[in-house]
Amino acid sequence: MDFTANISLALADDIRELFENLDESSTDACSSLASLRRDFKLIVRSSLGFTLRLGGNQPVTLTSIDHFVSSSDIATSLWFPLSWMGPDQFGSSIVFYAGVPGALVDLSADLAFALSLPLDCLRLDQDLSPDLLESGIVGLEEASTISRAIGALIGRGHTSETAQAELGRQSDEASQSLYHSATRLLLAVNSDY
Amino acid sequence: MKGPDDVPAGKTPPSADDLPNPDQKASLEFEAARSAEDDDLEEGLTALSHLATGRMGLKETLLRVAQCASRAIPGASGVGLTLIEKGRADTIVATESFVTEMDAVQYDLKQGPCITAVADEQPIISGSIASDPRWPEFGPQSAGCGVQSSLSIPLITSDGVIGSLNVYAHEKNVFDDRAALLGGYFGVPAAIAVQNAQILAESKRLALHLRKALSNRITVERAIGVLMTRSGESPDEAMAKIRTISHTEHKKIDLVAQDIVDTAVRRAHARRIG
Repeated sequence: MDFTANISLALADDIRELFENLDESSTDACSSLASLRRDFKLIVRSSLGFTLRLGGNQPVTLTSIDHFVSSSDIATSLWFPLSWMGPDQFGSSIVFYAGVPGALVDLSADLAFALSLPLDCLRLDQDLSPDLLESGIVGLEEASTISRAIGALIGRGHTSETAQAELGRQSDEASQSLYHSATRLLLAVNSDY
Repeated sequence: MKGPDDVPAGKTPPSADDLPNPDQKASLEFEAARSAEDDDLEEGLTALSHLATGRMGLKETLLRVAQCASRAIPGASGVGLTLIEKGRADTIVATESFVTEMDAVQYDLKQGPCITAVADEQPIISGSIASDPRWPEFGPQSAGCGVQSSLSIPLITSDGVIGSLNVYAHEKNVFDDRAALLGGYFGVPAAIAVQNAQILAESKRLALHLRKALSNRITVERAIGVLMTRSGESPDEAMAKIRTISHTEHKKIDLVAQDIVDTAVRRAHARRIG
């Protein structure tokens, strides 16, 4: 299947990177992404794209947006939670963007109805500035580094829980982000890191 | 049933003059039938309004829509919903098995009320399918299903026609413009349900793919961290080691990684208890 019509090559590369070192192919994820872009475009003509945020200790955000979109092009947004999918997705959400004011009102009502959610569980026009104005994945490098550092601490005798707490403590003590503390810790383990 | 003796207090039984003449009687019967139809319609639409689709699969949602339509459209013997994907028609749900048979004959012959409704993007009514000149082959072949009347409503979205709602009846001349109007009430939510289901299903599928990959990736990265500490290996060397184990033990990479992390955690626990 040719995904390039619906998703950028850069995003496809980022998805491949997410799946790198795993036994699974990124094809299904790319296919779902392309279908979602297509379906959204069919329902909302002025659709510009969406951001899918996977919640958790190390959130990762995937943005799929039209080329050359600037923040002033985004006239309306619709945020809705993915918690209805199950406990794994608590804290996860998706934001759809469109270029015509009011273009997402019907979709908002339809999705609220379809999911039996109160309308105020969906946010209209409150997320008009995506973290990224180009297609890609944000947070994967940070999540990988933090996970490696937690692994390094487990290798030093910590349990999963105490390793996370220790990394948090080091981060607080150095007034650094978890990512920076994790990088420092890994450099101490292997100076070539 | 109330008998003549059940006349409410204060009211007298009707005299012969009060009884309706044949015209009035027909009119009253028509009104009564309309009232019953309206009750059915109200019931069908009420059921439809309580239909929340997100937690149901698309098929279940559409079957409910078809059942509501079957209840609300006067004279309907069975209802089906056809979706067109990549130019191919497929009956997704049917309230009765003969509906599926009727539709299958149409798809084979590429003619029939459902096919015409989709092509013309407007409701198609037939009061006598067997002799309908629009479908010279379909009419005779559909006779075995015992269907004489049909009403097909196209499911129209902003992208065009995505399918049709097909209503069939065993008797002749059952459906009229009013039935087409009623069918339209169900065609709209069916089309919306399909679109919503697609958006929700794709959002879900994408989130699940990414969540699973991220979760596995985190496990693999943790295992790399464990190996880096243990033997001072670089991340690439650690990953190569995980790959080798995966290959020699015929085990998936994330399971190998999980084993490495679990073993390290068990050792940590044992050390703490010891």
